[in-house]
Amino acid sequence: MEKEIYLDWSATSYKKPTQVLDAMISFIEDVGVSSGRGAYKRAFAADNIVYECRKEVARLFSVSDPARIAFTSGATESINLLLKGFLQPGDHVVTTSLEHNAVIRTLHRLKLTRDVDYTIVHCDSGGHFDLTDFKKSVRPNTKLFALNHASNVIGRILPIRAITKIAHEHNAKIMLDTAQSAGSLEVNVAELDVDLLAFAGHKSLLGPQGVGGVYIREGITLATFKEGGTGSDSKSRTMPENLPERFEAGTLNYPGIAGLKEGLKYINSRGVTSIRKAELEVIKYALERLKALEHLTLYGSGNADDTVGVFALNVKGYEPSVVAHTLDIEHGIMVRSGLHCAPLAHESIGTLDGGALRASIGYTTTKHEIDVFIDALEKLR
Amino acid sequence: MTEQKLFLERVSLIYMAPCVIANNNVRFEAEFSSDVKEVMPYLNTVIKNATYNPEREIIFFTKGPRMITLRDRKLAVQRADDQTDAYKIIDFVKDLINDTYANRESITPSYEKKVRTSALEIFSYLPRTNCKLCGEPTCLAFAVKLLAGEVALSACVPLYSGEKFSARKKEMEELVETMGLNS
Ligand code: SF4
Repeated sequence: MEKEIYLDWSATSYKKPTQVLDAMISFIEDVGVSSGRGAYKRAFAADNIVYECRKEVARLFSVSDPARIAFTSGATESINLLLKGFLQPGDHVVTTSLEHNAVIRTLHRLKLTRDVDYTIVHCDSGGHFDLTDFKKSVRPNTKLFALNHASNVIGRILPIRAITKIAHEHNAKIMLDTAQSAGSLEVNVAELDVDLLAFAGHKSLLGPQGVGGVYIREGITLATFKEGGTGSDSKSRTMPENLPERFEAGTLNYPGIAGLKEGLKYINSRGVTSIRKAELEVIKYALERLKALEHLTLYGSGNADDTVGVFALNVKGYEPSVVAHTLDIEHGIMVRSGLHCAPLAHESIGTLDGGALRASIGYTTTKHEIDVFIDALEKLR
Repeated sequence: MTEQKLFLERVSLIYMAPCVIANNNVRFEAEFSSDVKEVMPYLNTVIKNATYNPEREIIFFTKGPRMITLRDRKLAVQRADDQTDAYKIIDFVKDLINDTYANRESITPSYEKKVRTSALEIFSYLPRTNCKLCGEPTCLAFAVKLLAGEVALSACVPLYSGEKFSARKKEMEELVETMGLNS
């Protein structure tokens, strides 16, 4: 068995650049303390790291004001914060069949408890959407379109700009889940015309688990998702209005943010365009080789240009969990099987019953690793 | 410009407290990694609304509601929105100083003493109780006279009695010194 091959990048990036680990260790060892507000220099050093990270996030998404970025524990909390903070009783939401349960379950909870309704726009088995379906789904009370930038099951990139246009024509806002795109695809909030955005720190942004965040466009006011200490305006019984404090009650994940800052610095200095270019090479190669295996069903568009590095497939005659297990035990290849927390996506591609195998690449994945993966699949005939 | 060595490498936040003149705002102090005195005459040209006191080597200017004072290695700011705003202002001042220094060849330095403060700015520091103990009918009237050099700050009785306004007094004294007014 060769050395282990990690093909579960869309769950979490691994390994992280060493500077991410160094920053986390150095934070705990050399800074160590929590937020300051007039306390002492070291506390300000901690806050400064948080601000520097905020700036890197703002730079990544081309947001001019870093204060519009708030940190959370991850994309799931971010999506909860945005949807629960934005939606009011009687509101209607348009969403898609490619959404993660972070969106679907949150919307459904709001349907049960807050009289919020939602319509799911379905894609075809290749992940293609008919844009007129979005138009047809709009109701007079549609306030939000909630969708991901790229699917965590089939990697399909959604035509965000076109969908945003439809939403805004109907005076609805856009909530974009960038868990699978941020860091490997260009995400420019002005260009995409996005109002609310959720990101995960531990995927292509190369930070550790337990950190993520939101972007909230200026002029949009959300109800708070949690209440607590902010270190400011402590006499008031309500959370402050100003961002990011309004959404950052309690102690932040400082070591996580210190690590994320370094991940972002790496991405911002290398440039997302160049990362995408390099990944696209591997994606093209992987698709080519996967398509050549006739004992395999490959889901999604099969076209590298509208796909991030996520591939869903099944090997004829095998349960996906068996394939995943065999790849792990016999070849040291780490992939996932099942529904990947997005059952509707599996409904769209016709794999709701058995699920599928998911392989995903990252910024260090090589063509050689793809070869080893393909060879291992070859053996499962 | 990136080729050149930056004048300021670092500006570190060292102190933050609730603002003495506006509710829900903060004031803070930060330390420059080098003394900014030599950049001041250039800043005096670049910053349109600067109040500059060349004898004391202090520059004061406003950015929106924020009141910004530069002196030696210290940046002092009143009325920042919050902590994130403080970091944004630090970045702003750092860039302003670095850019001004980098472009100093093309800037005519000004050693002229300038006072560009409004009575309202001074007023905002006063106790604003209109207690008349200074002999003026209102705090605003006192501020106008202070700016005109007709009265001294120490005539404001509440400011100099007890602890209540001590933080405000300190800020006010600095401002008055910057302006070259009578303390
Ligand atoms: S003494 Fe001070 S507080 Fe009283 S009216 Fe005069 S300026 Fe205002």
